Amino acid sequence: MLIATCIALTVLLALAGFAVDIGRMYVIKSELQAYTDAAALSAVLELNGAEPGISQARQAAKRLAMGPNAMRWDMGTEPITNVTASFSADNKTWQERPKEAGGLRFARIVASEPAPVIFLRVFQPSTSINVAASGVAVKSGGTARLIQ
Amino acid sequence: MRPKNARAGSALIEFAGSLILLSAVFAGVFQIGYTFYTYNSLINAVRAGARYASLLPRGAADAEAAQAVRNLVVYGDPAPGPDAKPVAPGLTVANVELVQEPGSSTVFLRGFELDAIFARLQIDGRPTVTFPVTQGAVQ
Repeated sequence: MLIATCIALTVLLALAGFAVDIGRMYVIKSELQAYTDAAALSAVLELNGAEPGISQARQAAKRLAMGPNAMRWDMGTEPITNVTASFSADNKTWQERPKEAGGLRFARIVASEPAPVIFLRVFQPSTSINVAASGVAVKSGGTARLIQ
Repeated sequence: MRPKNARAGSALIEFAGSLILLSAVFAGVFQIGYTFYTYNSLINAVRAGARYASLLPRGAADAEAAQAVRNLVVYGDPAPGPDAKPVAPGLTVANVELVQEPGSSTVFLRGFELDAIFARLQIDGRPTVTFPVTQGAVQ
C-alpha cells in the first residue's frame, strides 16, 4: 500500500509539474513567435539593395524589443535579447553578414531564450531549456509578407 | 479480540488528510495551467489584432478601424455577431489598447484581470505586439 502510494504520488506530482514547465514554455514560444514574425517583416522592409540597408534591417528587428511598448517574453516580463538576423536572396542560402547586399529579398529572424524550468530539472542538469522561434519574411514590390 | 476491519477507519482518516494536500496541489496546478493557457490565447489574439491593424490604410476612418481591431482581438472577428464569445472570459473591447503610428501598429491589453478561480492575475500593458505597416496580403 505504502509503495503503491509512493509510486502513484511521484508520477502524479511529476505530471503536474510538467504541466507547469511545459505550459510556460508554450507561452514563451508564442511570445517569441509573435516577435520574430513582426521582426522579420520590419527587417525585410529595410532591405534596399545597398550595404546600409542590412544594418538598418538588423536595427529594425531589435527596435521591436526595446522602448515602452517592447515585446517581451516569459508572460511579458523579460526583454528579448538573443536575436539573430540572417538574410538571403533566394530563401536557400542564409547569411548573417552578407557581403553582397544587392538582390537580398528575404530576412529571417530567430529569437531564442532560456525558459526557466522547475520540475523538468529532475531529468536534465540545467535550470533552463532554450525555446526558440523563427520568422521569415520576403519583400516583393513595395511591400512585404510573411512566409513559413 | 480485534474486529476484522480495524484498519478501515484509519485509512479513511489518512485519505482525508492526504486529500487536503492533494487538492491544494491540484488547485495550484489548475491555476497555473489555466493561466498559461489563457495567456497563450491572449498573445495570439493580440498578435492577430496587431497584424490586422498594420494592414489597415493609414488615416482613414480611424475610430471605426480601431473598433474593428478591438473586436478582432476580443472576439476573433472584426465584425462579431451578437452571440460572439470573447477569447478569454471577461475580456472586453475596453481592455484593448491600440497605438497606430505612421510606420507601425501596436496592440496591448490594459486593466484585464485573468480569473483562474483560485487566483487572479492582473494583466496590464502585456502582452504587447507591434507589427510594421505593410500593405498587401493578410497573413
